[in-house]
Amino acid sequence: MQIKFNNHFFFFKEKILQFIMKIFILLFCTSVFSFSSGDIFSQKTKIVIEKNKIVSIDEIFDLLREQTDFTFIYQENIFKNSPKIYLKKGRIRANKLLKKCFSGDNFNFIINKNNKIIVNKINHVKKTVKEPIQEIQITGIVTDIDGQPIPGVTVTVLGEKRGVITDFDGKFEIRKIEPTDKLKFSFLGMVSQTIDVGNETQLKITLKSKTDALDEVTIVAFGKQKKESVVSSITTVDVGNLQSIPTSNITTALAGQMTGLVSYQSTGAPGDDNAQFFIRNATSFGNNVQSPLILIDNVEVDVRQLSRLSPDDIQSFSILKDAAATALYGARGGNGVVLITTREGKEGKAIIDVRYENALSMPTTKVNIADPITYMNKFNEAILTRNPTASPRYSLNRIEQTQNPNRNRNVYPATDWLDELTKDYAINNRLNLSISGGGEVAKYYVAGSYSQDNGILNIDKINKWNTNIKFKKYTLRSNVNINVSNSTKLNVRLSGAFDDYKGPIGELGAGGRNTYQQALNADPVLFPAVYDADDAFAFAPYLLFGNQEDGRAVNPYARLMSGYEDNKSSTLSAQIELHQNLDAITPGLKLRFIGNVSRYGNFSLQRSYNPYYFSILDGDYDPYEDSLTPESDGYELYPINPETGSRFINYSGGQQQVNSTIYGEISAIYNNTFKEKHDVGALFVGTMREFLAGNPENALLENSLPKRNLSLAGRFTYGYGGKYFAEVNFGYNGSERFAKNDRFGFFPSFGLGWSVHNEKFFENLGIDKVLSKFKIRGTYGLVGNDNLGGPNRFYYLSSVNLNAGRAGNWGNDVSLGLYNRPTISISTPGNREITWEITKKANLALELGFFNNKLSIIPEIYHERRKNILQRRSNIPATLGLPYELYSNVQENVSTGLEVAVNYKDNINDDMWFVLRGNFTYGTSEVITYDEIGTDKAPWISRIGHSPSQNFGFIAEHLFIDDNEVANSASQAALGGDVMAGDIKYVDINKDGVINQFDIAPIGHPRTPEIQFGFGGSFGYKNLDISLFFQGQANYSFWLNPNELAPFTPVAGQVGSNRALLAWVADNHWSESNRDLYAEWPRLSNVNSSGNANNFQTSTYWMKTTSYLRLKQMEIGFTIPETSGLKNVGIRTYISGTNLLTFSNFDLWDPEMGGNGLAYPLQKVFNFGVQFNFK
Amino acid sequence: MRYIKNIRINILCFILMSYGLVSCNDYLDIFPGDSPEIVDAFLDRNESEKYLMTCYSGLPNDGNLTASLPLLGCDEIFYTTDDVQFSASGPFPAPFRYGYDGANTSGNPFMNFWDGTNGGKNLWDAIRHCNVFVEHMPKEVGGPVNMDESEREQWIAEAKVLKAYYHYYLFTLYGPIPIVDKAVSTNAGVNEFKIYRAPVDDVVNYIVNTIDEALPNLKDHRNINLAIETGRITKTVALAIKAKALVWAASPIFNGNSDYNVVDNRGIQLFPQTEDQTKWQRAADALKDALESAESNAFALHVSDGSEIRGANTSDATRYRLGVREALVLHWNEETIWAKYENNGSQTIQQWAATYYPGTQPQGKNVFQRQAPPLHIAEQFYSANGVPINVDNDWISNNWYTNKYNAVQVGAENNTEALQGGITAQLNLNRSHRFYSTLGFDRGYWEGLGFEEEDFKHLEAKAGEVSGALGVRGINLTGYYSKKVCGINNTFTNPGQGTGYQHAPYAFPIIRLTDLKLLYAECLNEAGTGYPEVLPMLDEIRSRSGILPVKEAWDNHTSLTNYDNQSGLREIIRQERINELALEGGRFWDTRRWKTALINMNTPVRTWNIWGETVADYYNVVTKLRPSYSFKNYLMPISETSLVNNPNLKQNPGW
Repeated sequence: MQIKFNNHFFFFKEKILQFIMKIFILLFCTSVFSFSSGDIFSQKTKIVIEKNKIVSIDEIFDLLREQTDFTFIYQENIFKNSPKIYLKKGRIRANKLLKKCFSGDNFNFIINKNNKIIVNKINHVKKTVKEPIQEIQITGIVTDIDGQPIPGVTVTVLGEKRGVITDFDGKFEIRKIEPTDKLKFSFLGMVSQTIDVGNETQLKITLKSKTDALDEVTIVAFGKQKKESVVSSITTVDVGNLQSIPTSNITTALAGQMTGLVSYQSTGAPGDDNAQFFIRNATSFGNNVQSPLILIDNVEVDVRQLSRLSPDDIQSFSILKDAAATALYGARGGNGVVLITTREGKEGKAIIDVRYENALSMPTTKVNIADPITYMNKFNEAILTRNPTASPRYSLNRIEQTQNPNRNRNVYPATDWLDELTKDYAINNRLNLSISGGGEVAKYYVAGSYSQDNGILNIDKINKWNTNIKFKKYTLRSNVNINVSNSTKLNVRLSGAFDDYKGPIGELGAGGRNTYQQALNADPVLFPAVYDADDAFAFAPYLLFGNQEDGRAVNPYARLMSGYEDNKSSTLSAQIELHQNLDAITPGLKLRFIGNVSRYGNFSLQRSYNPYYFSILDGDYDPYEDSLTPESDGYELYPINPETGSRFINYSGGQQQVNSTIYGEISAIYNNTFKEKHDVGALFVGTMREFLAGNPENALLENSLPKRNLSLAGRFTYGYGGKYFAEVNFGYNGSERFAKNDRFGFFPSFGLGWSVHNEKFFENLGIDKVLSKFKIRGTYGLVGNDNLGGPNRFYYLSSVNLNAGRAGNWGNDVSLGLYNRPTISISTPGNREITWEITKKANLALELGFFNNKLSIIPEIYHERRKNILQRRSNIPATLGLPYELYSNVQENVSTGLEVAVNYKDNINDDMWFVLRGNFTYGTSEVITYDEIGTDKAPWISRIGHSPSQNFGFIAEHLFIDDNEVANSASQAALGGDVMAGDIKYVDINKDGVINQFDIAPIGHPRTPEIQFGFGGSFGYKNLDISLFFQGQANYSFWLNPNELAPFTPVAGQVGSNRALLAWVADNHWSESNRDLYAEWPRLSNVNSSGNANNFQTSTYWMKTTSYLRLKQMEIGFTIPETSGLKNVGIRTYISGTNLLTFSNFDLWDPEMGGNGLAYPLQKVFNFGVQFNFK
Repeated sequence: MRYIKNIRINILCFILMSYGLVSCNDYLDIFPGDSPEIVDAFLDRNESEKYLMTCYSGLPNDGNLTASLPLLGCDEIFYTTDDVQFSASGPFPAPFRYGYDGANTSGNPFMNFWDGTNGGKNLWDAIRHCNVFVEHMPKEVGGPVNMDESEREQWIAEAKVLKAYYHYYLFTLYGPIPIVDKAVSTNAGVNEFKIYRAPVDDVVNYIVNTIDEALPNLKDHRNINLAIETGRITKTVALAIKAKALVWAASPIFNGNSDYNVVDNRGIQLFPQTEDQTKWQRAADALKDALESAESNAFALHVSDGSEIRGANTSDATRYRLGVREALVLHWNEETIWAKYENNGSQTIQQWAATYYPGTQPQGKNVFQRQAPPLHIAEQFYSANGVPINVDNDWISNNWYTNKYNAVQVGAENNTEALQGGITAQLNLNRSHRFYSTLGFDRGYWEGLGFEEEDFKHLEAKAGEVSGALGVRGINLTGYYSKKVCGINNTFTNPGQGTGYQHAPYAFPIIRLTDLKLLYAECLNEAGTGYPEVLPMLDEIRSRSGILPVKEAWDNHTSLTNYDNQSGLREIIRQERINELALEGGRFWDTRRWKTALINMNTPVRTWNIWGETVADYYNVVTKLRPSYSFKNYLMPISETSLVNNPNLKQNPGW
């Protein structure tokens, strides 16, 4: 039995494991053993090593004594000169451990009957070599790679039915055999071996463990490569790090985890909380065109599918960043590639992993809304400050009454909508379960997961249904690997992901904006969420929702309560892979075929009633006047919509979406080593993919057509002696988006690497103890992109509507009908020249390892020049009369960046260990060619030299001191509205006395962060482990949107209702009594941007340049010790948290949300989890 | 290179096809069939007709309040669309951005017909369509084969005239404009896009020549199928456009306007700096041609016969009051030379002008009583004697003029003008029939509405009254109502509930016969023709509204004889035009053309106190707005974007 290092337990362990294994291999290869009488311990006897440590042989014997029945008798000091031995945490076979003790020298030992082992040192061992006996009988010993004998290995004579099994000492004997026979050695979990008998009669067979095969390789495009030989820029994230973040959406765990990946999350609404992420800085414009290519098990998926992947199912997670790494994906990989493989079964007994988590989720920040009294006072101020002769909206009496705690709340409503609508926390659950194992014929990995995320919306008990967001996800994955024959393998992967969403109507897909934004948009003193029933409506079995007199205001509570939406989606994917080993043709040649079909389906159903709305009866109470006497506490409700309201729920329709993807790939892979020095590899791969949406976007023909890709790609690798590496890649891609003449693009790249530490001269330097690894690698190449963005899919096709809107209306009698005909409308001129966007990418990296690679540092720099970026032509004058816009491949951007990843791991003592890691990504990009006009007149409006996501706006000087300053400053009339003291004053850059479009300048940092970093550490002491991970972003700006924040302004789509007041505005605005030129909000107004546009311009006034550092993740885990009596179960419990602390100079809302601050907030999560590992 | 490419494709295909997957040549060719291109629009007569419609569809919607610069860009009406939010303390409402509140800027021009923004149509777009049409129609370049040659020529001619009209429209807004006579290829160099503004005279000549070119192939109005062709360009329409272009060329704004001195990069003066009197004669000649053509095609002044009114006996007064209104709102009446029908426009302008009246429930959401002419528009109309009220002997001797803002009880002698016994302003009584044709007012009658003459309804316009500012819906800002633009018998299907306002749709006139006649009178006067020859043209139009001939009116009711000299007659003609074409947009064009807008448009906007609930409160003159119209407002600004795009364009002065 063996302890399996469950990845969820200690995410850093596997690396250490690999590291230690290497040391062992080294030790055993250089040692001479003197065991002649076989092993003393049973194969099954294992010794538990609690901690990574370096021990003396005496200490090992102590261990063996403690955990076995044996005692040791030996002369003191006998091991004095023997080297100390490095033990890794885990379990080790006693035999192996013992051998370790004797590896340094030659010892002899005798086992007596009382399980006492007497050890003696001998000075000379005489090797006994048997004379070859010319008999048809051979003997041999089968060992593993460490030299341990393996009992129970099946030895069969090929072509015959007979065979033997190795004995306890791994020995076997076969009689009556001829030199031409072949013997096959096979054992569970080991790679089978076949040998020719020949003339040897004494055989030494070494079987390799199958699981060792994954060590020291890196997942690369369409395959794996020895880690040492990789020259391109590939970052692999330790899967454990992703798994330790308590989220059911893996995209939210990515930020800060690896170099080169920029990620941020702008809303936390369940089902809608996908984080945005880019690889390096995407230099294209637009939203969709920056997304990296995401591949799960070689098949392209979208972000949604990634977000539904259970972190526990992930075997490896890498991102490919430079041209050489992504070259094989050609046009698809221009924005980088995310490469994920899912777990597969391993030969052996079934292993069951169970993980259950229960999380408490709450907003990281809560937007503060001013109380209703302040609201009314400030509303009056907003009116009077602009027009002193106007009448205030709320009378003093009204304000006083509302302030009265004993008031009638129906007559003097004061509603904190956010409070009404939301609660403080939600409880979420997750359960992951997997079973894996396998035998010689097949291996399997079957995993299922279930999660339920709940929203933080309030519900009213009177409703028969729960309208809070309830988002359930189920996933099922089955990976089965079948060995069809010795040379043929068949992998079948089936996966399904199912979402069940239930929540308020319109919430899903809106980024959680609905409820939160409406809470801010709703007038706090116009009506209560629900009226208490008056005498006339005392009977009402329904909620008496408040509204204004004609029912045209939005009561967000009513909207939330009045219905719900069922939204269900499913993604099914079936994949078949055929691996054919063609060693028969030439060693090292393999063929692979992958076929994948996936289908996505989604539908939503909405059920709601049209709420009954009420207001205080006209005549008794007018929200603007106070005709109701304060003494009166009677009130009468007025039903606003008795004819259209209903209390019975009805079906109100939804949407359906379906799409289908088919993918096929065939590849030929060749890898071989010649003369032990020349590693040669080649790969050819052809792929095809088709995507077809059942509900084309905008119901356009062009979107109804399948999206297809076709590619041929190749890679040639050459390595010499583990020192020099070269690689040439190419992708040759076809895209249906271009005209025939340009449909295929060729994108080559190459890379070189040099492992200096493997050079003789480096070894001679003698610094290898300090600088243990020193590798230089670099790549250069082209990458294409066919996802150009812009309004059209096919720029090469013209789009002419021959039946556009009717015109004419000729005829002298309207009653007889007029003569009209459709018109012709041209929306796109066919442009056959529109072509691939091409990026030239260069990458240079160092891989440094110090102190036996305890410390590793990988600095990396890159330079990308992206040209042919599609851009709208700006120099088309109106006089040309084009009814459409022209596009061309004009723009060029350059981006450069630096990435550093640092890892350090060490043991402090036997019980204590730690790992530190950190990464830093700095990326900046710049537009170098841009089709723009007006820059001769106003050079500062030029985009050239700025980031593609640079924002432009006015430069706010300060708030106007007084009306005199307004009169004597550059005219801002063109911006609109009456400008007064306390309004924003802009800098007249060109000093022409007018503030207009030529006074716009680049302001702030780009909107996507230029710096992203993460650092953290893990620390373990005995059974306890703690990890912390900080993540942060810097160098980015965002803009508050005054249109969404301005208090008292009418809200679009509502009548008679005005936006609420943020406490921050109430506390920090300019007023006549507090003429703060730098107040955070200008002079109040109840007019929105259409009447007061001056203050609503994009400017430095609303700009927030910020950075943040947050405790992204923290985990404390405890592994229940084996000694506690639980024999076959590994148990670990842990408490973890996400987004626990945030440090930023911006505190209005979560700084990661940027300008989207009124959306459903990001969540802070406290999580309790328990893991079981059944063996 | 191509060879290598093919090899690559073949390798790829070999691999993929060997597994029976795809055929490369077809795999990426996903677009089924062909995609339509411009030439497909000229495949046959049917498609070409659609393209011709496309050329027509560029016509500005002058009759649609939301898109009409002549209606919105002028001081004739004011309105608010914000019926709910608007309150007594609120600001004077938009959208009078043109020349009023400084919101018309070169950065963001109001009603921009150059770039097609802020309510304006992109006329260059329309011009390009015409050019494409003209260039593609001939058979020899791939035009439709299945159509008659004469029809083909006629269609091309129509497109040419439309092109000329679009140039004309831009010309009246911007003055010198680039001439775009062909559809420039998008592949042409950027320098070909950077065209210059042509001097005024070149623009006019281009319009004239283009129309002259088209004339022979156009149909005469009398030869068209009225049921399906009314509204197309005919010879008369083309001649009228040509004449109007020449009138603009002769008018003060473009004829020796030294205020506007613009020299472009090439050193070319865009505005003629010296006046050329002969331009008036050239315009007069063109108008003569147009009028002759109109006459020969049976266009005539519309005179009401009272048949629109229910009941047998319609008085002369009523018929006079219907005259000019019918000439506007009767769909294609005999004096409509060219009009554009737009369903939305026709509905909007009528519903926004319509009002409630006693007996109706003011809740109908499709009656808005918004279009509100200010006081100075009400004052510009003649007295009952057909002379300006400030020179009318009766008005002076009775002190009506001095006391014009006083509230008076309506006596029997004025009982057709306003509700007898009711109280209204002195200003609203003893006015010419054309005043009552055009405006509604407190206690004034609203002819028609489906009622017989004796049942004609009057308005009650004080605050709280049915047509007044209720503070809820349908606010008239001045106390005057745009009666003229409403169909005669627009009714409520159910007046008691105020629902279902029915309107009679009509094509909004682009050119009316009276417009041409008055222009002819103007040109003759300017060209030096004596008043005896000029006055009959005015008198004919006045007589339709029951207004005395000029000489008789002036001689008998004023102490003036200013009709006998050129400048005096000029004033008379101008006032006649303003009154005749009131609320139709004429004032917008004419005051700019005459260079009088600086005075006219700067008149303070005065209204009755619409929030007054009593006579004493209501009949107070309130100055709502003091416009700041400046000389730059005569011409529209070219947007900064366009100037930046094409540095060869010179901005109009002042912007």
